[in-house]
Amino acid sequence: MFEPGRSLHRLALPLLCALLLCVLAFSISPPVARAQQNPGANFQFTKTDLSLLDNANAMDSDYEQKGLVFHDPGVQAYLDAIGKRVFGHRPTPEHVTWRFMVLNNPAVNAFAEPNGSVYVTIGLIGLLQNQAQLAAVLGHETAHVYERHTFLEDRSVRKKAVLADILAAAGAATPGGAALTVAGASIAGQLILVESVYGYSREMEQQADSDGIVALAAAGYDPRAMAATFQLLDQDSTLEYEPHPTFYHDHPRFKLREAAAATYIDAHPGPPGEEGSEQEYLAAFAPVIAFDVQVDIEDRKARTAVARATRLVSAFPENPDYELLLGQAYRELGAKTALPTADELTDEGANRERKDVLKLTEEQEQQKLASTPEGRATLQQNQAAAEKLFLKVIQENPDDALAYRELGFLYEDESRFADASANYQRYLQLVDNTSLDRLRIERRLADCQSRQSQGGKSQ
Amino acid sequence: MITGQRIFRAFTLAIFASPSASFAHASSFYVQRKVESRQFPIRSACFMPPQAQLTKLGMKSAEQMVKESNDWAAALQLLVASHLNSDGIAINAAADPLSSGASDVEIQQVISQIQQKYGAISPLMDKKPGEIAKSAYTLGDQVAMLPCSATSDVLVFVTASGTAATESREAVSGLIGGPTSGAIFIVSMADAKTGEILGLIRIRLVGDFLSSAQDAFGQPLDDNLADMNIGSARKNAKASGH
Repeated sequence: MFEPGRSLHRLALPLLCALLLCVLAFSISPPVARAQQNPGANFQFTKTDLSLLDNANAMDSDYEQKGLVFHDPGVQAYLDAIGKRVFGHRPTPEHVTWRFMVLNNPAVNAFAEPNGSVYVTIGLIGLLQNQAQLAAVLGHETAHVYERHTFLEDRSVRKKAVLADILAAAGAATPGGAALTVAGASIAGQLILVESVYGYSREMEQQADSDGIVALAAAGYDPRAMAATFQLLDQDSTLEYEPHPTFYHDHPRFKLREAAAATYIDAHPGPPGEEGSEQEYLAAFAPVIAFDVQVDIEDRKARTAVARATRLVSAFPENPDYELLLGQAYRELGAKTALPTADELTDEGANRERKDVLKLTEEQEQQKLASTPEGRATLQQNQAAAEKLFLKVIQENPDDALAYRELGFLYEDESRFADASANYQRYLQLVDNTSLDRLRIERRLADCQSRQSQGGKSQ
Repeated sequence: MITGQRIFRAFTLAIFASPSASFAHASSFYVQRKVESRQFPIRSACFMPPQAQLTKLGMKSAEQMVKESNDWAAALQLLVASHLNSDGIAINAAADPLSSGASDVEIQQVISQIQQKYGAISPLMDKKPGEIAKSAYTLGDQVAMLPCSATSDVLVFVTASGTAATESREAVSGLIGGPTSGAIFIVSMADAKTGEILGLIRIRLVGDFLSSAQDAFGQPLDDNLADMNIGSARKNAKASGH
């Protein structure tokens, strides 16, 4: 005989115990359980989600067409191998094709599109130290794709947009309600794919961090690499003012994320994983980092250029190309110190630095720095460091055309026009007639010769 | 009562404003004296790859329109090129190797470097465009590495950013306020030998700018080029009131 009341009463205790056990199990290792499954497996796609996927595919083609993707077979193979190891044997979610790419952008950033395209910028590759740290970044980014964060964020924003319009309507009908209208418009104006580049909500980023650690450990990497990556990002964020900070350049969050990652790892001890040596990492990514140095120089990030080029020279002291790059970076540094001064690390100093970058051109900033005795001393030090490197390259290879050109630029900066002319002439003798730089150097040579006749100095 | 009048007024405005292709322009130009005084005559121009970003603004969200952005960028470049060309200015493309013998990859690298540099000075030019007259901005003489530099007086950069609101979004914005379709179109010119920024035109527009680049930007572009003294035929036409 079935007695509902009694049956329920009898079942209540075991049910409660089972429920408690479930809650306990999830609270001990929720990310492990989630990340090892396929959290987005049963995701139901709407028409809007599919259109978002089309846009992501279009973005991929656009990056490719505009030459923004770095192509090098060795680099690609290395990146693919790490990516493949990170997503391991987990099933690939629907509408996802994993592609790992290096983006020609000096900003320190990485992002994943909902279609499975994961981009790591040359700026971030130039900062990281080993394979495990790169795996940590890929683990974090692939987690966004597994968890379908782009679609979820999109849906959330759309709901807010409807609410915003209701508020806007109320605002328009209420005297003094214009502020509400503006607020509504700004919410509706969010771009989802842009958000995937600049970072998601805090909850989603936390989830991607913990899922990333699990993926890292499952792939045999040292999970502490996640915390080490945040520490590295934190240190780098003070090197130079970044006018367009991305999620990976968001200073205040790093300390919290580093602490959260460390806490999680302490709570889930496992066998020590692989880290990979810095030398091996640099050997694989040297072409990317060398390119990043050149782009940093163009992008007014001479300190970053010096830091990255120094790593290459230290790792490969026999390679003259990297010495040349470091020399260029020192020349570009001008009257600026290679590391932030004590003053720049204070809030007031950082604010001054920010204003200078936003208000002065590079030339104006250099003039301002060189107007002080300290600035002039720094300029001389940097120019001496650059000259030493260029001369070393020439000593090792007297036919290195680029070293003569760079020395010419340096001497021209120093108003040593006769020396500059001699080096430009040597450069023009060494390069062939099809060199894209020929016309430019011929003009500089003519200019230096004209100034020389007007009384420039020589050493 | 007041609220009712407001809604009626907004609704009427929305009805009249939405189907029309009328624009509201605001444009400005900044130029170096040597261009304005014709000490630096512009007879040939080399076009850098155009850059445009188009965003579709619907009722619930905004989306980047990647393919449409590229089409729009190409249309805007064509517009500027045809306006300059109609005034006797020869047109080259930065990606063209001409007779340099350089590979596409080499040229692409130079273009990327110049664009990077342009991107670095753009926020400053945007903030203090008046400094252009004082020769404050330069891309450096690496612009001379482009094969087209040898045969061009200026490098031309075409950039734009636009928001295309859907019809429903326009209607709602007309009623209750909020964002509508609009664009910012920027044309800047740099000395092809030294990289010095010589001039900049900035056109802001509210309204449907996608139907025809000529209808949307043609007239203000012409006016600004004439005021900058770029293109004699245009200036003469303006002076004689045609």
